[in-house]
Amino acid sequence: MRRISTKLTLAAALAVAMVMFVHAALRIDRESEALRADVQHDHQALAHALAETTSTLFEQVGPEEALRSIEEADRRRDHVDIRWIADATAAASDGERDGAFVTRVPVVVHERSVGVLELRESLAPVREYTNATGLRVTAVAALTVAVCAALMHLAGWWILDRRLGPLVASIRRIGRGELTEPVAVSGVDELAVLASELDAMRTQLAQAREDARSQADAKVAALEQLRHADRLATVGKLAAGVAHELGTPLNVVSARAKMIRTGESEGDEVPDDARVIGEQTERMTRIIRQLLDFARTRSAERERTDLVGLAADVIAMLRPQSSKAGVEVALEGDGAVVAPVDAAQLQQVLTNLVMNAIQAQPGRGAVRVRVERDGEDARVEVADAGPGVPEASRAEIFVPFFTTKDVGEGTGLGLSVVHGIVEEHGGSIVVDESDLGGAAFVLRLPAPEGA
Amino acid sequence: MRPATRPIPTAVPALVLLAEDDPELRALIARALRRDGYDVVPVPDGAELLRALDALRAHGREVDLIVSDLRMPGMTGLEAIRRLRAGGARARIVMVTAFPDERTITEARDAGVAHVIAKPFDLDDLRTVAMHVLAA
Repeated sequence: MRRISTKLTLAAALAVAMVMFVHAALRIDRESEALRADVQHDHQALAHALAETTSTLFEQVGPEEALRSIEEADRRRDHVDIRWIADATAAASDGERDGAFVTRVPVVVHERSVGVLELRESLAPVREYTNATGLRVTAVAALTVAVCAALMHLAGWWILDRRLGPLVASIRRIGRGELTEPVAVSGVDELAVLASELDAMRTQLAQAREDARSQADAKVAALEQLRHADRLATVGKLAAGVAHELGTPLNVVSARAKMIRTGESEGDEVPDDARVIGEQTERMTRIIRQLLDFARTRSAERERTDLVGLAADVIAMLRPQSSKAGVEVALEGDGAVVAPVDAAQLQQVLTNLVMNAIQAQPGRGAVRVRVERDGEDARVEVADAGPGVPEASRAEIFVPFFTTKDVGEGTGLGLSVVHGIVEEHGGSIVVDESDLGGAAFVLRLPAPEGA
Repeated sequence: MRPATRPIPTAVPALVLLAEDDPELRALIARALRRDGYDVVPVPDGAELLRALDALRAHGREVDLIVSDLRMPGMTGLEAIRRLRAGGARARIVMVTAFPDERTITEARDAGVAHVIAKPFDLDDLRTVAMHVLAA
């Protein structure tokens, strides 16, 4: 039974039925009792009246006349059997026998019984009447129950079903995440209270979702800002190297331009000077563009990128730093190791790691970048011969602002940005001991074949 | 500007060993110094510098002037100079560097460098310095 209104209807119908039938039973009982009493009373009255008449006739006219009148009385009444028992010793009695009232009244003449008048009346009519009444009362009861049930059903629909449907639909909508439509509230009863509470819950959920969304947006924006800050910090560090790198081509350009101007270059030395000036200028442009590219932000675009080539570019860009520090940077990786990555972000990652490795060994040192395929992953290892990372710090170094460098040297941002980028690519990064004696940062990136 | 005076031609041209890793700059400096009448042997790095020194000595030629960049791949200029001093070379040395900070200058002087020039430099200034150092 799925409906409350059906249950209520059935309960009401049952209650009404019970009451009606009990009432009916009592009524039938009472009426048939009354009827029977009536019949009995009439029957006995008749018996006594006849006895008197017979007695009078006996006395005044004679036995034959009396007997004839008894027969006449019997003939005249269909429902009673009247008979004369010519037995002066028979006793008076009344009672039921074989489904009939039987009354015997002695006929007394001159204070002596001359016989007994017996009246026999069938109780069948009483029974029939009882049955008919029973049927009638039952029919009425049944009709009443039916009407009650119908009314209850209607009331159930009006009060309950009509409003439950939309309420359930509302709840389903909320469950699906559609929080914009308000919950309909009609009336002031418990169902209306339920509906209005549900609506309040809906608005709270909608608000919570909005809050979560704006928090997520803020988080993404903050993350992007952090990455940008890290990039700019790196740009600062790279700028010195770039300035140095620009020095040589600038030297060549100014010297050759001077030679043209002063006439020191003669004849076809001049076009040669011009050519070299052009080449060196292009070289300077490339150097500057490389730095500017590194600094600007753009939205992440994943593309199949050769990580070996990327590592080579990073190492080349950091050559000023590495040769000033006296650190040899070697690249190990044959062929191409291609992975779907955002090249600019991975460049930021590798620059951070290689620069850290260089800065960890200020006097002399070695850095080895190894790029290889490892099953479904690309594995990039940046190992150095520096002091390494103590085991206690290995978990913490990827946490933002954790730094062991002095104030002003490192921002402590770099590794947290690295970690974030690697995670977003679905990869992992750990730090371990390297066979070169220092630290080895091992990063894994998913690189499914043909992705 | 051209040097105020041109170098005095000598019977045997002065031998200049030039160590610079950038090929364009190396060619440029070599050309300018040759214009001034020197014999120029250009090399690309510190290791080659030492090899050239030995080779020249084996041929009986002593180097008069070494012009070297401070930072080159492999052995740095300073390292090479220390080694060649240890090997007994007496050539005068001019060092060219992009980062002429106090420490660098002191280290260079201690290693016996006569003059330190900052990069980027005017080619004519280099020629003037070379002339003065050789004349001294």
